[in-house]
Amino acid sequence: MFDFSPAHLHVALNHIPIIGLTVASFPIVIGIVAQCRTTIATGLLATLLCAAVMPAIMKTGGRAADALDAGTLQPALDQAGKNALSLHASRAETTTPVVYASALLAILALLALIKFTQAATWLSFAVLLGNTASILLGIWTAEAGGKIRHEEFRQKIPWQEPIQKNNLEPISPVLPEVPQIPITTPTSMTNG
Amino acid sequence: MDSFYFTPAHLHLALNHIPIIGLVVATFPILVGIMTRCRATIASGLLATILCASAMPSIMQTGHQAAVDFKTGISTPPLDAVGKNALSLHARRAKKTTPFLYASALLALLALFALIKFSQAARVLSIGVILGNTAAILLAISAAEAGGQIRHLEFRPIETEKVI
Repeated sequence: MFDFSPAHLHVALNHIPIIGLTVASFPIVIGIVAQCRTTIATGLLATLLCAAVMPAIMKTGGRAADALDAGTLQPALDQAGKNALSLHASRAETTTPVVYASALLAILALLALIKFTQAATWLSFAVLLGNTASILLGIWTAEAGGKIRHEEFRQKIPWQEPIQKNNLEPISPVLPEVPQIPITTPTSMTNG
Repeated sequence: MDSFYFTPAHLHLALNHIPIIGLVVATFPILVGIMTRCRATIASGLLATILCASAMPSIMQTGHQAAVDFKTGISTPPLDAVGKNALSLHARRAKKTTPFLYASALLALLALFALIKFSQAARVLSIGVILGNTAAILLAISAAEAGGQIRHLEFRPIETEKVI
């Protein structure tokens, strides 16, 4: 039933930095408001778990790109798909360090929770900021990723979109007629 | 950032991982809260479960609208026969998954109310939410498995491609 190729695994996992971190931030917020260390710790642990998936996301993404380059993953990408893949990869490389930084802050906050409650609260705020940055960068990365295979997500130029809403025939763009100019050889060139 | 282009299909793909990833992460505080007997932690997990379930109407609506756009030819390129079958299977599985998610959210709501005065009942209800979330996650994975094959030709089993 399930075929776990790197591309398949990548698509299954790559929403974790967005959805996972959003839900993981929730107990941190409630924990800070309710001043409950256990709740904060749960949110911080959930953040760490989400960040722990990043190496798998990057590795499966890299392998999927290699398989596309080598032609082992069919069908092959068109030029727009290749551009989207390249943009997606470069954006993912920007996002990853921010996710790791957030995870590092979460570890520091967890350690601070043992003895330094006030510092832990500040560090938890920093984790929330780190998670927010990671989520926004994750959305930015996913936006390019969606265009690799989904042609319908690629922005179309309005006059390239066929009008089919009311069962009308697609209208081809009307181009101005270019006058035909006869090509003549200059006499100076033929004589010389 | 000028390239964000939110069609129903686009929104559907952005949201439809919530019943899997969202519920997995939401279940974590419930488990920790039950083990540490911390009401605030359980409550945060229950609230997260309700928030995840509240995304379901949008997921179903955008999914339905995306399917209509494919059928009417608004969304291009059109689907091949395997893609159409996958879309139909995905829709059927999604309809099976949705009631489980709503049931889990209802249990979470009851557990939240019970947390105010009836700690023992709240714990039992929270265990019920964990079970409900697990069922919803498994069903959502089966729905997602069919959904992935709508556009991704590389996710389809080789036998299916050969038949076509």
